[in-house]
Amino acid sequence: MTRRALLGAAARVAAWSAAAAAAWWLAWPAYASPALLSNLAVLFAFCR
Amino acid sequence: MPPLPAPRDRSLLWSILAGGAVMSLALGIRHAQGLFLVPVTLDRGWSREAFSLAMAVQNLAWGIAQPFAGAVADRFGTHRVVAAGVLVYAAGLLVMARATEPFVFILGAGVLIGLALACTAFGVVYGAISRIAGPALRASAVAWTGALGGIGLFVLVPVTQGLQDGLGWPQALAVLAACIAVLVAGARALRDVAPTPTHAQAEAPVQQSVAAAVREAVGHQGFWLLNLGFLTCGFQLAFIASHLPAYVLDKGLQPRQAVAGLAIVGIANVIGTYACARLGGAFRRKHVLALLYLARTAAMALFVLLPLTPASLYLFCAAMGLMWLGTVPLTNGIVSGIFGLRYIGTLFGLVFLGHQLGGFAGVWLGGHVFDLYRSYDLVWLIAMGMGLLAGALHMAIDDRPLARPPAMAAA
Repeated sequence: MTRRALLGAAARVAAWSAAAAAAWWLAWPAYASPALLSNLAVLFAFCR
Repeated sequence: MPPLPAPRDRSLLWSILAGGAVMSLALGIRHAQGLFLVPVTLDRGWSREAFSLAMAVQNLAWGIAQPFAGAVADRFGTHRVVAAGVLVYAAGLLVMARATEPFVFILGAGVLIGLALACTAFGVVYGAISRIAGPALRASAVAWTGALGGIGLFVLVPVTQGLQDGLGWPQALAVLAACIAVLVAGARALRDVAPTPTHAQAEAPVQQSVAAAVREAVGHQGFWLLNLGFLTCGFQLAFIASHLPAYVLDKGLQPRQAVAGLAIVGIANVIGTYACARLGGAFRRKHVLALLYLARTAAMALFVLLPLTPASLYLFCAAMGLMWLGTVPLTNGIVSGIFGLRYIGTLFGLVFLGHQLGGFAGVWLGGHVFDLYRSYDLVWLIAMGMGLLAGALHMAIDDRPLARPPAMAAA
């Protein structure tokens, strides 16, 4: 693997990681809402 | 972020956006439908068994319908199948919202949405994108479509809950129905048969009937090995998706941590689907798939053997998310690589039937074994054993393109 290919791969990993972190930062408050947590808690209990 | 493929014309870009949007909504709504369990059963006074029966029927209907939906797409064009699929999906959601009897609910949520998934998810969309894109752009186009298609799994869980909180569950279903029905306007971008000349037609100058293509496939060792591999994929994913929250709650973690784990799977799947499709363009797909199944096995072994903490759960979910739906473009690519693109919808649909049977077994066996032993350990072992077997089986696949003498192929 050439140096250029390695740098390209590293840049892609960094870009995807940054995008994932941004998506997480935006979406987690909605995931952690009491309504969703309580709804999913019942669903999880049902699966048990 | 890597650049989007630069197609010679804009049509491929529109195809990617349309295919990604349809898959995203179709898979995302399905992923979030468990959120309706509590409000539906409470409001209607039904047992939870009726709801779970509808979900089981949906998975079987999806698997059984997939080869037929693929065959119709191969013959008449994916755009027509997708257009019908999004409307049937919307109808299924509206039937869910209006049903006052469990039988009607099962018809809407089970049969109609199961059929619709066969017409709107990766079973037909990847085939269309592969046909529309030329060989040089195919891996990139499929990768982007898969990544866009995965976004719904992450986004639609909180969105669906927000709609339920704000509007009530029947209205939430109606909004989701309207959202997916609107995509009928974009289905045209997935036109992949005559009169538009496609790369598939250019690459497959010989004629072959669908029956001959199926006979040819079932006589090929690789077709059955792919079926077994995809059965493993379905088993592992369905078991983890259905039983992982119960497993971690039994071990003392909190529901909030289980929810975070599932969200991590959703977001990692977007990246993993893209990465797997690109790796499939750069390396032999059977090698990538074999490694993927072995890596899944290693991740499961570490997760079960090491002490369970929130950190180990999140790492496991990130690893599994990266390998979640990445198997689909790789398996689809092997099928088209061996048998060509002409009947990719039909043949991938037959392979996908194995995936759904594996999924059914994963959900059912998880519950059955837990009821017997009050432990999931045996099912983890089975999932790991199947992963090792799938890795070995994929290495044995003869993935060379079939050579078809014109006289035989014309049969």
